[in-house]
Amino acid sequence: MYKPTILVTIPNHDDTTRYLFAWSKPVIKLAHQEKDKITILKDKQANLKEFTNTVEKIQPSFIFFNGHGNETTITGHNNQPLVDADTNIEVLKNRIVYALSCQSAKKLGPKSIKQGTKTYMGYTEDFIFVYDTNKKKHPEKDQTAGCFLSASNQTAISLLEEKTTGQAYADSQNSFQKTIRSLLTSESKTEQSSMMRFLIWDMKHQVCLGNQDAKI
Amino acid sequence: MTNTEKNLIELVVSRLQTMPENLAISIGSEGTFKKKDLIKHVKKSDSVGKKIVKVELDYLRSLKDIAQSVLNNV
Repeated sequence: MYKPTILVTIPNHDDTTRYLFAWSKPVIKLAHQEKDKITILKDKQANLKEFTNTVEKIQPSFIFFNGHGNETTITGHNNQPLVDADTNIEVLKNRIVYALSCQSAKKLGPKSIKQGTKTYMGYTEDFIFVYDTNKKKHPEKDQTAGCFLSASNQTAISLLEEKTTGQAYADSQNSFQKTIRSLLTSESKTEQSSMMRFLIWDMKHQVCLGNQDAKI
Repeated sequence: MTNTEKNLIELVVSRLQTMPENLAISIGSEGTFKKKDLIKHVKKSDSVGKKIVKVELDYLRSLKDIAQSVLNNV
C-alpha cells in the first residue's frame, strides 16, 4: 500500500518557533499512526545543508515547513534560509507544500507553482497568533495559541487523512471559522475578543495555490 | 500625520488597552509583543504599529461578513 513520504522542518530557537514546535506534535503523531514515512528536521537540524540533502535522499511528496519567513524565503534554525525564491526554488518541484510561516505565499508560493510545485499552501501576510505568557513554559497547554495553531495545522492533518489539497485548505478555513463563531456566540471574555481580529487576519491571508485536487 | 490617522491610532490604542496583561502576540519575525509594547509601536506608527492598525481596520471591515456568517450557521 502506498504511503507518502513527508518532510517536516521545525526550528526551535525563539518563542514563536517554540510554539510552532509544540503544536506540530499532533501532526507528527498522526503521521506516525498512519505509518507514513516521515522525516523531521528539528532544532539545529533545520538548516540548509540538512534540508537539501534530505530532500534529495527521501524525495518527499509533502513538505511541512514550520518557522519564520518573508515574501521570498522560508527559514529554519536561527532564521537561516531553507528555501529562497531566487536560489533553490526547484527543491519544491513536484511536491505539495504547506508553509506555516509569514508571507511566503506572496511571492515564493506563486513563483514555485510556475516552476512545477504541485500545490503551495501558506500565508500572504504575517501569520500572527496570541499566546498566554503564563503558559510560555508549556506551550502545548496554551489553548489561546492553540486556537490559531490547531486551525492552521488542520491543513496538514487533512492531507495526512488522504484528502485533496483543496479539501485540506477548506478544512483549515472551516476550523478558523468555527473558532471565530464560537468566540462570537459565547459570552465573550476580553481575552477572546482580543484574539478574534488576529484569527480573522490569519484566515483571510491563508491561501492554496496551484493544483486543488492533489494528494500527498 | 492627518487627523484621520491620529484618530485611527487613538482608536486602536483604546482597543489594545482592553487586552488582558497576560496575553502576548507573535508577529512572525518581527517578534513577540505584550500590550504595552504594542501600544508604544502603534503610537510611534512604526512597521509593527502600522501592521496592528492594518489588522484592526481589516477586522472592523470584516465584521459585517462575520456577523452574516454566524447568522447563517446558527
